[in-house]
Amino acid sequence: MNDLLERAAVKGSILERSKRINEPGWLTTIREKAFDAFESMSWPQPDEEEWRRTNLDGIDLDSARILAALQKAPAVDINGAELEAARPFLERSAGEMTDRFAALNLSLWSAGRLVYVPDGTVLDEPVVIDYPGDAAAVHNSHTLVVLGREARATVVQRFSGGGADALWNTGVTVGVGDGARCSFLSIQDVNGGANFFQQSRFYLDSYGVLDSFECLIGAKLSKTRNEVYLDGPAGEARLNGIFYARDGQHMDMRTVQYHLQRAGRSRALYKGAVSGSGRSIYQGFIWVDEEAPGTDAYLTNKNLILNDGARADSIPSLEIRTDDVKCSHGSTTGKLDEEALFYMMSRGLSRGEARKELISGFFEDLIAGMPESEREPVRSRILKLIG
Amino acid sequence: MNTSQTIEIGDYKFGFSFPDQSVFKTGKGLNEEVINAISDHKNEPEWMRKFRLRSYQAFLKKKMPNWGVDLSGIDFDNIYYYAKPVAEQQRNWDDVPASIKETFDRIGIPEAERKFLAGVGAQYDSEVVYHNLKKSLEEKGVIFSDPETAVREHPDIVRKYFGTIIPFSDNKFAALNSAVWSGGSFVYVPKGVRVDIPLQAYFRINSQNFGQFERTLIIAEEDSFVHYIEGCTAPVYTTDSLHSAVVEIIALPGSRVRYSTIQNWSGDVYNLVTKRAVAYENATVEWVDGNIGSKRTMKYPSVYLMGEGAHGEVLSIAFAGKGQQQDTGGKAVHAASNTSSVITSKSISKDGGIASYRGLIKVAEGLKNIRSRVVCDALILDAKSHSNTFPYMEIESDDVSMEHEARVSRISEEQLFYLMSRGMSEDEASKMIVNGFIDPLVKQLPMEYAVELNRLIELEMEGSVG
Repeated sequence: MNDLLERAAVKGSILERSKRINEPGWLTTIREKAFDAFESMSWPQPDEEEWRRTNLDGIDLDSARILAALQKAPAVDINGAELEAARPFLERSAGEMTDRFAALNLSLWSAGRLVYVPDGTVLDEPVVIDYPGDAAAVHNSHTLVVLGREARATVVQRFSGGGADALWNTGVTVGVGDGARCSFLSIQDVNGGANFFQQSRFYLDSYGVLDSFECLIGAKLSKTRNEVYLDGPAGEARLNGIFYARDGQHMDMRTVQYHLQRAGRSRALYKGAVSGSGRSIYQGFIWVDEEAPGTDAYLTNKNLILNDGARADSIPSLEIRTDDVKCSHGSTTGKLDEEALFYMMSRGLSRGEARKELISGFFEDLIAGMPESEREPVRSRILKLIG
Repeated sequence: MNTSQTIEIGDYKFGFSFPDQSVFKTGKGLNEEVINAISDHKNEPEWMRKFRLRSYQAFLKKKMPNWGVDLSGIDFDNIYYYAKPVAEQQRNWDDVPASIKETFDRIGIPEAERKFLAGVGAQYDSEVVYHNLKKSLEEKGVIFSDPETAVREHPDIVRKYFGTIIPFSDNKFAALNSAVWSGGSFVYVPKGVRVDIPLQAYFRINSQNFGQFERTLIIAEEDSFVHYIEGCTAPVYTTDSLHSAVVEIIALPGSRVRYSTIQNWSGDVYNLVTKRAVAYENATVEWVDGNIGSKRTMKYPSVYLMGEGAHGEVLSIAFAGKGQQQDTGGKAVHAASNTSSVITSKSISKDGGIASYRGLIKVAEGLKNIRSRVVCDALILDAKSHSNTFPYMEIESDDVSMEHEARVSRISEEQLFYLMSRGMSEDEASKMIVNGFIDPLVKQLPMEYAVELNRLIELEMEGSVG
């Protein structure tokens, strides 16, 4: 009974907070709906395929504690006429909540930013959104990006610091308009003891172009999902990822390329290194709908295992429902090439230096494709990790 | 060789069956009484009865798989679990009842071939009715029999290996098979013996609603070689039938075992098979697995590489036509250093069929020099058909070279155009491209199987392009 009352109180406080900042009614409805979904679901179980390899047992997922922490968070005020532009995307996400983390994020996100780029507008400078961790136990943020027709923008979000026992539960919703181009970079470099969850959804209208980069460095446990929906014909999406799981770290990534309309083109390229007792799981998925003839989709996963005991799982899968397609995937897992090491050492490098060069070189093709302002910081961060 | 009476493939499409002459049949459904009755009827030792009853308990506890294909159409209570067609085991082809012989003629074992083949364990319903092992093999100490005979005559070998590779609690369908198994093959090849002629067994289902639960155990002692071939055909019935086999292979150091199968179950059969092999030092195990028939197939032949120098190969081919789901693939588990594996899969989907590749490469911790390569090619012949690929790779050692590739496409317009410009009709050109697509696998089959497979694919392809 107490429990019920408590939950009713949480729901009441959501409504009250939304009212205080004059949030539009539709957004409050989404929050309510998401809260109901949160209530009706349980945390992901190990018998669900996507969660089979990520054990949540060690994480404090006490709902009462999480809700209490979030009730204290200040309201985020991103009101304005532009918010309306994000409505169809948020409503869609609310209609397809895949798990309890996503539901929690959509109902109670209390930090976030909206980047709205009107039709035909080109932003020359990247928009950088920082989410520095503070003393809070739970970070529940949402980044919203909406690009109008033929708009162009680069958005960078960075998560850093925070407490060793913090729970990060983050969401990203990006809508790319007709013929627009969006470059989106997400860097996760939070406290090495924290747990990090993220659900990102990218919606592409016809001829929309997306370049997404995900860079996973911190957290003890990290579970992210990047989904791109090619809603209009001839969309083009690239989902790129770099991850480095060191001793004690666990990184579980999923990408989904949904081809829903004809002549779409998509590429996923995830490259990672695992060392110590680090473990990575990459689950890539391409879905080609009946309505998507002319699809050209590819996904690649390359893993570098730096020592015995580190583990990299690779699960690329395809589901294809029409015949006029070009779909393929490739996956390679191996260690550093001894011959390349030997060659570099014969040129006077120490083994350590040669190793450093080879590992950073492994990531270089992806780093070179990132927004320029972030290349050098990511490069030096990775060099530091190699140590 | 009299080829004129080999295969009237047209008949496969419509199926054929002969009056049910089963001598002994349990009631529909499964309970301990049925299992006891099977065990009594087979005059089994107590340990096997206990094994069956333990397996039955595991079957009750195990959940249905919540992945793969839709199995909701299986009604375990509406299946006969055991039937025995003839009272005595036949020693001579002439003694085999005429109706059964006629069925075999329809499958296409030509007269000349019968003599040529080393041994044919022909399975009509769940009992082996005909068994003939060439004298020379017997002299070498090779045992090729049905497993019931092996339980009676070679209990020490059977007890040592039976159920050790696929424990009865492995999965729901392996548990079911362990509880009610009947028929199958037992192959034992002594140390250093090379069996030059492939050992063949034909399997048939010929009783309505009859589930076939054959059990095969192959043991290759050190430095031996054997090629075992199993082919399946079944007449068409309107109600669903279930085929759930268990195949265990033990390849001891230095041996090589090759297992080839083409299943062409009729379009109402659920084909849920567990096949697993272990390969010790320098042993090689090869699975050649063709899936043409059945309504639903779930089959992932696997090789556990337990000793250094072991090698595993899986060649898988699947054809999913109307109403069919072929969920097939292969697994290689590397548990020793210096081991290698290759999985090659080719699938074709057509007329709304769903072909899925599902596979696993696993490399345990602390191993050196592991090589593995997985290649999946899929051809989709029309816009209604589906093709899926679900490969799993779990790598825990660093000294590994693991490659995986998958490609899904339709018949290329350019290839079609080229062939048609040379005077072929679109239909002929398509058939030729499809034949070329599966050719690398067909080449691995013995000649008569290659011919049969090509004809089956051609038949399935008929009228597919318009």
